[in-house]
Amino acid sequence: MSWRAQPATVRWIATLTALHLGAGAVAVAVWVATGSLFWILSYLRYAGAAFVVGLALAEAVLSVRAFLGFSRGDALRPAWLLISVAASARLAGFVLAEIFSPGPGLTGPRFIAQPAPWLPLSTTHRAGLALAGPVALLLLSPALALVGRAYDRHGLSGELRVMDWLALGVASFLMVNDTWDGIRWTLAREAPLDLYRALGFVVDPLLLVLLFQALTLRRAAQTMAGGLIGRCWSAYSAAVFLTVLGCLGQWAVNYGYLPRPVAVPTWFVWFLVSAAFATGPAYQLEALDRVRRGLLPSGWS
Amino acid sequence: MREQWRRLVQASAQADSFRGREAVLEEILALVQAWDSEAAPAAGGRDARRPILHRAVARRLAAELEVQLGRLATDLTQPARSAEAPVHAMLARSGHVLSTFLGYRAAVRLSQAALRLTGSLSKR
Repeated sequence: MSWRAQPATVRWIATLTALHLGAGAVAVAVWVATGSLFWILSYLRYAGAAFVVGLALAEAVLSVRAFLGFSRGDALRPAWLLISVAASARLAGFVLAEIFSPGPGLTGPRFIAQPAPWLPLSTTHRAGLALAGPVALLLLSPALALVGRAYDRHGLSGELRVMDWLALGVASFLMVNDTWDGIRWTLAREAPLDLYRALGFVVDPLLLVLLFQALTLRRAAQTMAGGLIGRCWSAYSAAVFLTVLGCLGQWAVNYGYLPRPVAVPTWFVWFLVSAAFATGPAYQLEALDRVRRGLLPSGWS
Repeated sequence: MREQWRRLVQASAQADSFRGREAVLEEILALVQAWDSEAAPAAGGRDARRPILHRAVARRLAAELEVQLGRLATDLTQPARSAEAPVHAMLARSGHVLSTFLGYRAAVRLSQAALRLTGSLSKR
């Protein structure tokens, strides 16, 4: 599908993301060249917050509109309901964490709850991270399971290949290390296991389940490669994969496995996650809108 | 019409898998044809043009299915294009998938649009 044939909403999301990442690259370049933190801090605090909140709003609106396209008894109606609620949780979480209680200093975007927060965070910020992270993921997992079952019913389920199993194996190894580091941190500081920290411990196993679902869904969506519906579920698959990458990057930086300069790309991954999550329902909605417009001449795109 | 579409989808869901659905295809096709003929105005001029209209609409429907379903549409439209009533055949083959991934309402709307264009379905 060429750029011009892409749905207008998808083009908007892609353009906005490219511009935002470009601005981020400029801010990093200024930081490296001058040593001044002003531009990178402003970028993350204001442009970064506006970007994730704006795209979460778009994701929530598009998901709800896609859900409304289904009627009672439709196989994927419950899935779209769960996706809409998950998108709303992400929006509420980002508003709490990024607008009402922005994080301290040069931490990069911290968009997911962790068992061992390295910096003191306000209760509002932690609630936001919990909502946008584990709560949204807990809602997304059964939704993807329902979609996977729908593909399966049509005999279109995808078989995982060697590379998929390899990715799952590597992710499992790193996630186990992440959880173990979280346990060690908690024990060393005798930190109480509050709700936020408990949800932080849920993130890693949940992401592994989601990664398995995303890889399976990606293979299934390839049976509809090039179509709007296949692209919708490929976008969700990419969003989960990028979330896993972002989470692992966050862990590696926090525990000193990656040097500080390498941390910068891990911040930018979260912006791609937001873009991928907004792109999924945009494709679904375009599919529904096309049907509303009726059959168009065969040469029309 | 919605109820008929539901019957159609139920009929196509009986088979174990999408690719094994060929066995019930005849049954689904008969349902679409019955649905189509129920609302036919039976205008003499139009009846004579129906095969031509069918082929023209089939091309547009195939293009739409390709946009919606991508690679899968090739499986659904290629054998149907050579059929006597290709629009019916395509709707029968794609009905279940469309209903699942776009919902009943959208699937029925798409089918109505295609059948209306063949000139046999009254505008209502």
